[in-house]
Amino acid sequence: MESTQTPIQTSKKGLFTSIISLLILAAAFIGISTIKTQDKTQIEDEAPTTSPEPETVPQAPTPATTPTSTTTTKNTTRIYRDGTYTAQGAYGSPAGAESIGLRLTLKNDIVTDVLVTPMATNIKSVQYQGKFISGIKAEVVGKNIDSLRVDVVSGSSLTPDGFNDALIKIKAEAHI
Amino acid sequence: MHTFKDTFRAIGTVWNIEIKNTDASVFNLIRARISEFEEIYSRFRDSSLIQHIARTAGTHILPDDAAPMFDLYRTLYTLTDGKMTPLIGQALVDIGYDASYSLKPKEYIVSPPTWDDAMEYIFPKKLITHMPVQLDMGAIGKGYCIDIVSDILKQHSVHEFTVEAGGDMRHYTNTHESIRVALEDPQDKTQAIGIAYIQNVSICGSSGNRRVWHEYHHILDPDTISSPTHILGLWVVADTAMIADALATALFFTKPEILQREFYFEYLILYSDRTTLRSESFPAELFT
Repeated sequence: MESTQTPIQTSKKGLFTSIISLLILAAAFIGISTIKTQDKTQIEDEAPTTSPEPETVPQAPTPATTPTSTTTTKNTTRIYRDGTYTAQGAYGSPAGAESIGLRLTLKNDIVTDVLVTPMATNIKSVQYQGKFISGIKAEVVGKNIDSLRVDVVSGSSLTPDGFNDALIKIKAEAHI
Repeated sequence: MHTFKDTFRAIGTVWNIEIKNTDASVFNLIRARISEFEEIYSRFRDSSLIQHIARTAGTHILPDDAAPMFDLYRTLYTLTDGKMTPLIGQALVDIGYDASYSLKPKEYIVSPPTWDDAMEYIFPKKLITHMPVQLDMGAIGKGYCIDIVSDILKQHSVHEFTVEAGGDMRHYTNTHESIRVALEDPQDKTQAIGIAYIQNVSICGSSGNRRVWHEYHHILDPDTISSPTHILGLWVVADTAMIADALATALFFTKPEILQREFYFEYLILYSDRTTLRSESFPAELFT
């Protein structure tokens, strides 16, 4: 269970106010797309939002553009079970889609800690770690395959038998 | 010498084999051999050995061709701290990637057991399972099958061939010629992000956006029961397709440097922000 990190604070009251305004501001223009609840006692390998773990590549959630299902644990007493909640938000910026991570710790329905992480820097931080043979190249663009002289295409455009049919089926069901 | 081509479906994907030879008779042998492979190792065949192991615990004697796969799985299981595991089968079934492609995730999905809790593999042909376990050999199986086909061709004195299955391939030539391989853009299959030059090696790719449903794709982290999202796709070039295919999964979970302790390979990783990371000698020009 990794320790929570508190932002630099001048006063507890000032921090609380600024957290609330940040959350309100965040809610105003960020569409929260995924919320995963994690009970503290169940967390074994929480996705790190700042420093990646030494030997494995950290999980950086994608900028979500379509809503995904929300999973919440069942609760009969408080509104929210004590624990740490992570959310990913996506918003549009002049540079393109941006993604932001939010981690809240709740105790007795009160936010006791909050951590905001811009996801884009997370991906970059992966790349700057460790010893890399080759530098980071610029973003790649796509060129129409028909315009290229190639012998074979290496891709995963062919899904296993039946998979495409199954995908069509579940997408149809989701609309009911 | 003429060019002969064969196209057919097997192990859940489309195969394209191209050879320069005096005749095409070797294709029948190849189709039969792949069919045999599928009958043993596919979790989508109820009568396979893998499905027998899924139903019955005990001591299983594996066929002669099993050792390279199980050995490689054990090595990568250790190098990836258990993230790449053949025991991922039940979790894949539970998230909906089952034999009927229901694609309906169950409400609660259990992480797979550790290798040592579940089973003991004794080189070369003995597998002792302590409980029924749903194995999935998909991370290595296709590459290995490509190698088996390549060996058949070499044994039959075919000196020029390309064996391709679902975008993974192995090339062989006696000349200095290489083939040009388009690196399909994971976000747009009509486009390529670059061209790889492949000669007497294998190139295998993996992406996280084809077999996609709900929040999953076909690569599953056994600890978080989620699919990695920071990588759009990646390619590995290695001497054999088994290694290239296996590392094309391992690189979703582990940094290249760790795998470089054990294997010689070149790699290209395309991150979700469209930047790339490539090894020094990855044989490709990228479009930027």
